[in-house]
Amino acid sequence: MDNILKIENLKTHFFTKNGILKAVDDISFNIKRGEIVGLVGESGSGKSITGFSIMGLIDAPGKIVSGNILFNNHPLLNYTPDQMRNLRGNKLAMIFQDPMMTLNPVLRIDTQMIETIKAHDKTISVRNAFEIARDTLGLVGISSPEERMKAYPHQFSGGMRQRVSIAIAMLNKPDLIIADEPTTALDVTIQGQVIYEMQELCKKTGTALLWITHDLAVVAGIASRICVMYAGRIVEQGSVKEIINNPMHPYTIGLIKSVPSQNKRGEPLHQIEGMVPSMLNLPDGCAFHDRCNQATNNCKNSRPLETNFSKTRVIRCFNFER
Amino acid sequence: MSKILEIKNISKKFIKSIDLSSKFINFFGDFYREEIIHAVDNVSFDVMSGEVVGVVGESGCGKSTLGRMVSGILPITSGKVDFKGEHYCGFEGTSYKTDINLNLKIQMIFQDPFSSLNPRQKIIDIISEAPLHHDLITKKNKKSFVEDILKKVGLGSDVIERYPHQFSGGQRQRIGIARALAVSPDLIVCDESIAALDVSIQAQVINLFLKLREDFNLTYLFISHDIGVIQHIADKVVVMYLGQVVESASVKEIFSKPNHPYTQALLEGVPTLDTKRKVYTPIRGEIPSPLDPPTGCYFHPRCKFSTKKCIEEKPLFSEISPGHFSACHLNKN
Amino acid sequence: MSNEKTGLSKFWSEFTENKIALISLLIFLFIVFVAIFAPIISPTDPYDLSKVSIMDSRLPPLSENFAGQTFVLGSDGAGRDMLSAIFYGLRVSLGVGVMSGIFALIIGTFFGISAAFFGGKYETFIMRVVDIQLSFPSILMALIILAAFGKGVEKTIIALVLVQWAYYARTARATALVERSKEYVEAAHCLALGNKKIMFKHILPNCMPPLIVVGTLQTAHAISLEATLSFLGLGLPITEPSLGLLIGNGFEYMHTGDFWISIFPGVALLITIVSINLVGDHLRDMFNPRLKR
Repeated sequence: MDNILKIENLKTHFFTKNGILKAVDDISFNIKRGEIVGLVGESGSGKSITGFSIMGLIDAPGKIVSGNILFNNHPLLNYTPDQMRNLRGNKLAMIFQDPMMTLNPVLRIDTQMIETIKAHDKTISVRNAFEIARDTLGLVGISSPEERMKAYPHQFSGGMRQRVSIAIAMLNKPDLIIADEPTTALDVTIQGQVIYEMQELCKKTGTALLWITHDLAVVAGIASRICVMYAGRIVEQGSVKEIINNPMHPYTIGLIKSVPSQNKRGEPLHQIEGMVPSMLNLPDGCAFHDRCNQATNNCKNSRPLETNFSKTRVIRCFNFER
Repeated sequence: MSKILEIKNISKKFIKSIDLSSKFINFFGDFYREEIIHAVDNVSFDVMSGEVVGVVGESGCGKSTLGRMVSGILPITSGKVDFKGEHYCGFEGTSYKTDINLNLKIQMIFQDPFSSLNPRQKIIDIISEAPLHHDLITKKNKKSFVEDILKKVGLGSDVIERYPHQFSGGQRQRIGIARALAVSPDLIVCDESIAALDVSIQAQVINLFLKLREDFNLTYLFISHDIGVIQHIADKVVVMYLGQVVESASVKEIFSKPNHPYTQALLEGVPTLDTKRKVYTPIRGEIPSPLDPPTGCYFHPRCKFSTKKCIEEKPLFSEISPGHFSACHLNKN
Repeated sequence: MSNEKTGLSKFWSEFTENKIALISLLIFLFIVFVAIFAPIISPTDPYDLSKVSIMDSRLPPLSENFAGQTFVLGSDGAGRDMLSAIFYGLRVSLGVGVMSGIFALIIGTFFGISAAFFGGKYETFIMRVVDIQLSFPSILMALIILAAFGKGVEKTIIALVLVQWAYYARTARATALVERSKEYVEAAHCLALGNKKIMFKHILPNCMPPLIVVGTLQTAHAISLEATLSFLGLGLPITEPSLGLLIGNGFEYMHTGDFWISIFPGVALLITIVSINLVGDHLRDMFNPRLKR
């Protein structure tokens, strides 16, 4: 299987009046066709900015400073704005945490969906577009789609709105969907439904999925590979089994250990000391060194490079546990 | 262990009454109706001194409203809350006010670290305002008092002259905890207090809660949607759905023998760090609108086991085994 | 903890990013300076009847009077130096405008915040009064009030306050409603701090930003309103001439070609109002979180 997305040494920096914010600072990873990859990180790790960088949605004062983004072997960074616009919503789609970032509150659902289809296929008739829209809504688990399409976004609940956003993303049969925290704002029982449906959808249509989240547990059940981000860098990546059952980077180890279910009841939870560093003032060496219990002097002064531990495993650490 | 909090059949109704123009239009037909939301509907449970009671549920279940009624922020519509045996909460529309001394004994820690601190107050004032107002400390020992409390929540004294916006989410939550501790409460209501924090900070704050419980002999009412956290720290669990309590039991019982179908579905649906490809069997349907709850058992439209009785009759909240309560018709057999 | 600038210095550096607003602020500060120090910096005292001579009347700009002084902006129908008259006029215009603004702010904020805090019938009553008042054109209201009260500085200020307080009340109530639902106010309730303290120590300080914006823009509006009233001959007595009065007095000379008697005070008024408006606009943009990048 070849790669639908190849990211090489991507750097996205924000040039603010308070300094340079290195939101994404040299990351590389790939997504194969039809694969589901989880990009896991906390707030400030740069995971959302990664998604926006791929979509070409970085505005001033942000700028993609260096690196390569190859989508279907096309270099996206060389694309003109028009070419990107043709791609977005078409073969490359995005879903946001808040469905109201996708949905226009004053337009009916069918209008919005037909608009999306017609934007990328000028020749299609309204009737055909309507049918595609209706079928896609059925695909994401909305019952009686023909009637429900006539409603406005505010008449739907949160879970339904998110499903509609997913449907809109799927309308033009994309090759890759970037989902930025799609279920974080949903209730647990609805989250379960949406995760399940997305999983089925991707299996059926062969769409690749980049699932960006802070919750390891969510991607544990659905992804085949996970990339762990910290302070703008990918510290570890590998298959889901490897990362969760055998984490090697101290940050990943700390994250997994601090999940309540991994701790004995009544005992204090394992915690990672300290705080995420300010992105304006990243330390010179490894960004995690001041919170790491394996840190050495080397970690403070130089940045660890990526080590290919195995064919699937990449890790960025001087002292990882083998 | 003694009972520190007894919640007896409390309810909270939010009524949106029809205004004059709608009343006028109603002359011509029944167009407008008063909208009543039973945010909390006949909830009863006890909290023992030193216990951590976890309240779980999804949106619309009323857990936040419950928390605010217990901490004295919202008046209750009906029912009774006794704190250490004394009648506690004030009712809406009456002149009965909550006893201030009792009010201070129950404090709340909020969800949003960004809006739970007054952005225009210095940290020292945020923490010392209430104790000064209630004459618990004097202006002279204000500084040392605040520094002392900050140490207990893991913050240095260099923060006192700063403003909230200069701190991270986790630090702000600690400041919020310090503010609550400053009035020496016995019971603390935590309303999704860690939901807005990063995962690596959540563990720190949870550990802080547990440590403070030991140091200060605190009791917690821990409201959360995070089942994993509840399983770790709660002694007793209360499960709410659409304003009602559907099940309550010790934490061991709830997780090993969940009785109510909603509890079962809730526990099953939680993503875990289990790498076996999870096959989700999600429960169908959406959470109903609180304005228009289903008839009979509120959960029946989504329940795999619903029967005719479930559609018609509301199940009673009854004890199915010692300390384990559930509201489900299927238990009658 | 962040190293970013805090409080006033951050506010200032953000404000000065917009050069136009900065220039407007400087112009306005200059006008305030002129207004305060008018008696000291004016070339003449235009209201000292011993110095004013009808022989000097209607001299065009940059002409000399009998005593050899240069009237930079000319003289008016009674022989007064226009420049000095404008300085004194700014004093009155600004004074009345700002005073009425401050009183309207205090009254409006009080009613707005208490309405938001207590709710119920009290709030409904106050807000209906505000609605009714705001549906009247402000000029009409001011005219009616002054027709009833008569002329005088205090009466003008009272009329302007009565016309303006409703704007402040509406803005104050809107922000207070937002703040009231925030968790720090709930915490204050939980800590039993008492209604007065919650309203004035917690809610009020956080309502200030939009009120400052309304205050700036309303002050400009008040100044212009007062000018209109004076132009029509109402409100201020001739002993306290504002720019409006000067414009009004000079109006009759327009068709004989002595434009400077009316135009120069008009320009001064324009600069004052525009500079305040530009500062207020920029303040409003600064406080609007959605425009922040």
